[in-house]
Amino acid sequence: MDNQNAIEFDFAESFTPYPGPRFKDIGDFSGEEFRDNILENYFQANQTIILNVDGVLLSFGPSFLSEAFGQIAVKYGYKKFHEIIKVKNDTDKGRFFEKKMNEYVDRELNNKS
Amino acid sequence: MIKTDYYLYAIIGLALTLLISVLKHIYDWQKNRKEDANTIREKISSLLPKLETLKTKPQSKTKQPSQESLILKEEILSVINSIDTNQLKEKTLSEFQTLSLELDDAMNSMIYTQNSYPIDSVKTKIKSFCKQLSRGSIKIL
Repeated sequence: MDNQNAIEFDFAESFTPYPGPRFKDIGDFSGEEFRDNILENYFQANQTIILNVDGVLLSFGPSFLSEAFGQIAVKYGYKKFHEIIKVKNDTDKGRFFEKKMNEYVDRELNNKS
Repeated sequence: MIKTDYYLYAIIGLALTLLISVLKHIYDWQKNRKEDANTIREKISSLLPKLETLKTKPQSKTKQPSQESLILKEEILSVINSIDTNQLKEKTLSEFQTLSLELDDAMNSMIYTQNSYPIDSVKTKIKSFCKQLSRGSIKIL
């Protein structure tokens, strides 16, 4: 699927400007919640999304990145992950988020193998 | 014979110059690595008092973090994010990521559920990581 059919997902507006902890039972807006309630739907629908994190007000914690993006990459594989998830990386914030997200995706994939 | 000696001295001179230049380059590289390792160690050490302060911040009992806790969490994440992971060798990057994950989980336990035990545990790990950086047993590029 190419970027022409991709949907932009404004993280701050459509999920939260304050990304939370790793698990749902720890607190709201967790990585687990984002993965199960948001990302999973796009993977099931085979719909590419472009994540826009420019409006996020609190840094993404490593545990959020690992649980949301790392675990879904483990489930669907490296290729599918990068087909479905793109990052709007025309700002410093977007580029930094993309770098960190990829670091934790690679980590989880390496730990799996 | 004199001409041969002249060439020999010239070659030895060039070889020595080259050797000195290479040694100087290695010395500078090692010095920079040591300074970079110190910078990383100082940044990570600076987290210890911040984590102790986090334990004193007011916590909500409804799994909603207080504004003060979130501000401090952001400060701590900024320190972690300021470390250039491109400088870290693969094994060190993995160790740094493990530490970052444990630190983040510990902070969240504290600010969402008022459980301070993981903070004490991660402080010990931070001290150990810093000691290894000082000894040079954790490698950076």
